[in-house]
Amino acid sequence: MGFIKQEREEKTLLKAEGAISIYEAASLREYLLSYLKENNELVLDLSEVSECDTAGVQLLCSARITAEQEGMVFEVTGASGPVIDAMTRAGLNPAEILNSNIEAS
Amino acid sequence: MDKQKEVYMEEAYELLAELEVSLLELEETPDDAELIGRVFRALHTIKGSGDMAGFNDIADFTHEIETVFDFVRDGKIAVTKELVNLALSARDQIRTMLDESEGGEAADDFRSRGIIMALRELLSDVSEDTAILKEVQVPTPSENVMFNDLEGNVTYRIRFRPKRGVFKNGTNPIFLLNELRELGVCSILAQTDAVPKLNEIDPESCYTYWDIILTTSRGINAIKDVFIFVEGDCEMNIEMIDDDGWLETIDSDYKRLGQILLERHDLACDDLMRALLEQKRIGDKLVEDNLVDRGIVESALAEQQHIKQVRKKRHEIAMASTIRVPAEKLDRLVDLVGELVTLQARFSQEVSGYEEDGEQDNAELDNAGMDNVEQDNTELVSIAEELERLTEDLRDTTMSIRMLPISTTFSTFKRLVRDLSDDLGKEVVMETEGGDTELDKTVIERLSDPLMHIIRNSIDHGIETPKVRESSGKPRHGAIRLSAEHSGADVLIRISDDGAGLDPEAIHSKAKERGIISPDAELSENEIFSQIFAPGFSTSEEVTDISGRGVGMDVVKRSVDELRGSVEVSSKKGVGSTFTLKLPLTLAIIDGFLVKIGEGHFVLPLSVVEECVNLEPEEMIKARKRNLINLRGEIVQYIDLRELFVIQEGSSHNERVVIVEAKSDRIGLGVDRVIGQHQTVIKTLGKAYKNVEGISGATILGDGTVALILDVNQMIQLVENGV
Repeated sequence: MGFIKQEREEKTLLKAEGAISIYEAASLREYLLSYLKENNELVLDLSEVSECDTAGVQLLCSARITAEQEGMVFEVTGASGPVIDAMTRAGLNPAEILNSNIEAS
Repeated sequence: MDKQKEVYMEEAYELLAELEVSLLELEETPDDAELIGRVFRALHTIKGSGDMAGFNDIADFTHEIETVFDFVRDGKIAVTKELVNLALSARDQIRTMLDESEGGEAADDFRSRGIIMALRELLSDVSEDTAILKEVQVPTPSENVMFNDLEGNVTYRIRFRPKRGVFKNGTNPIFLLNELRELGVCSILAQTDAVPKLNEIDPESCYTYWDIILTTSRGINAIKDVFIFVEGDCEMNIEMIDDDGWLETIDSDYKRLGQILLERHDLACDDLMRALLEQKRIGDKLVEDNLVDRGIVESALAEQQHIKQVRKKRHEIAMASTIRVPAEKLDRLVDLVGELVTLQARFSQEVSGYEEDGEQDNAELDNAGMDNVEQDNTELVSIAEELERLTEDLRDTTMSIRMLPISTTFSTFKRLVRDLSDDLGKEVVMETEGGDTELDKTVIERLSDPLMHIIRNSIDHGIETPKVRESSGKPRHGAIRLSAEHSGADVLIRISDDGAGLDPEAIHSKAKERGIISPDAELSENEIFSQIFAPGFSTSEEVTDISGRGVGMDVVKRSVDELRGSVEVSSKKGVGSTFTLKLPLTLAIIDGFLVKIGEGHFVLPLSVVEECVNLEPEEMIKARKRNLINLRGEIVQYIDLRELFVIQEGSSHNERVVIVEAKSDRIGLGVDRVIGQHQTVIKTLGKAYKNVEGISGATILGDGTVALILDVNQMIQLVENGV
């Protein structure tokens, strides 16, 4: 559970593992904020997320909105089925939230 | 021709008609993805079925144009006038190829190749950069919805706005939305505009709300049940926005964006008005001015889309439950019903006669046999009444089967207007109204030519060139308006233009010159205008191949007369002209008014009969002498039908005068006896009597005798001509 910082191809990215849900939301937010402060961009790997609920979806929206408003890069290198499924079911277009360069795994 | 080919031809003609309409619409709204899709699908079906039915040449040819539209669909080729032109000529070529296989003129192979070359040229422009990246296709929420059974379905607009603390109660709104999806077809759009940035967000609070459009047959309570456990934790708003009754309005669009936003209280009326004043897409404008959030506009657009799909599907289902029947079978059915109506009338007549006879006989009979006869009578009378009721129902149903909306004809004219105005260097827009007005199939078919003639005339002679129009302060675009509406037992079709109008003086002098009217005739403006329908009249100085051969308008009049209709024209110089066609709903059965002269029966259309009057014997004698009668102080022309038809048998004293009105003129017709209203099944008189003036057909009466149907318009004409 939670975010793990990873270095990949000279990029620091945040890889999420386990669930993104109401129970993890508060700590995930902290991770995201501190990562943002350090890197001034947001590169997420969501390909290992096993579970996602409405609060999780909303948190990802907030991250995207934050990056947009601050003029920072927001990139998702991959998203798992549960993430895409939750977004679709919540009435959002995953392609819009996660950018278009995702592959459902 | 084998059955498969026959079915294909029928389908292909229909698809070609649809294709033409779509292409013309596409020219007006080149970005409409749905229209592009419709064009592509039509082409695809023409090709695919053509291949299967053995029309390989058509399939190969269609393939070329289909390829182009495949690129158009992907946004790699733009819709231009040139493309539409090309597509239209390709469509015409396919039609010619179809005609050819039905024994029509051979399709010009050279022309086919020319079109293919032009199409390939279009393709060569894009083939280099076909490597445009395709974006990852992720299904949007409202896509891949399935509408299976829409019967009894109602569409609701739901706004579900949970309170902030909803997550903390262990509620995951996704589950609720999933439950909604199970109820029916759902478009769900999350509104995330209120979601704050990471540094401001309380990740355990809900900032999102949802706009949902749901089509379900389960009723509003099923929706409320879904939210029953969060009732206190959310604001809910459920409104019904569509139900089964909307089937008729399939053609009309759903509400406008602004209207939806107002209904949802997302936008104030004043703001909408202000935004509407600007020439922009309303959605963009509203977002730009910060009047509403982007998500709100998208949600309203999703509602439009959803309802459109539901209605379309509903329409398709309604269409799917129809079957194709050859027109001849339908004609035969109408004939049979006509005969049944006649036979039923005869039966009723016999029964009532039998009843009268029975009563007389009864008086003479012994009491012994009386009960029996009376019982038989009542039984028979009730059967006759039942039969009459059934026959009437059957007649009405059969007639309604033959009714078609006139829009089919209207849409073919759209192409005509486009091509003609292009040829003549004029700019003309055609508007139609009342396309859903229904008319008998035969009337619609036979109406096409006269309407086409009038429209040609309006474009050729009526509408001026853009230059002339601008110099006289009119908009560059001329307008032709086609409208249809019911008016009693008739249908009124109007063709109006905002062109130069008719010139009464030119018409007057031309009519004199051609000897159509006598040189010293004093005519009202309307009478002058009606001269354009006279045979051999044409005011155009030079003969163009579009109109102006001087055979135009009299042909129009004759065709309309044959349909038992009338045509009138009104016009104002410099403002425009309006042609009004008045046509009967059906040609097969009319409400008639039966009269008798000597031993002969005659039928007048009930719609023209005003009243019947009895004249005093001395009045009668005067009337016959002067051919005029005094109707409550008004002088009315009088025709003694006995004299007109040279009937000698029977009494020579007319007893009744039937006052009829047609063409805003009244005349009195002298007859022996008035019998009354009669359901008249119209039969044609056959070639030998086709040109007899004053008679438009015949009908068979209950007892098998033949009655002639009088054409009142022609009779008035006869009187005017002094016969």
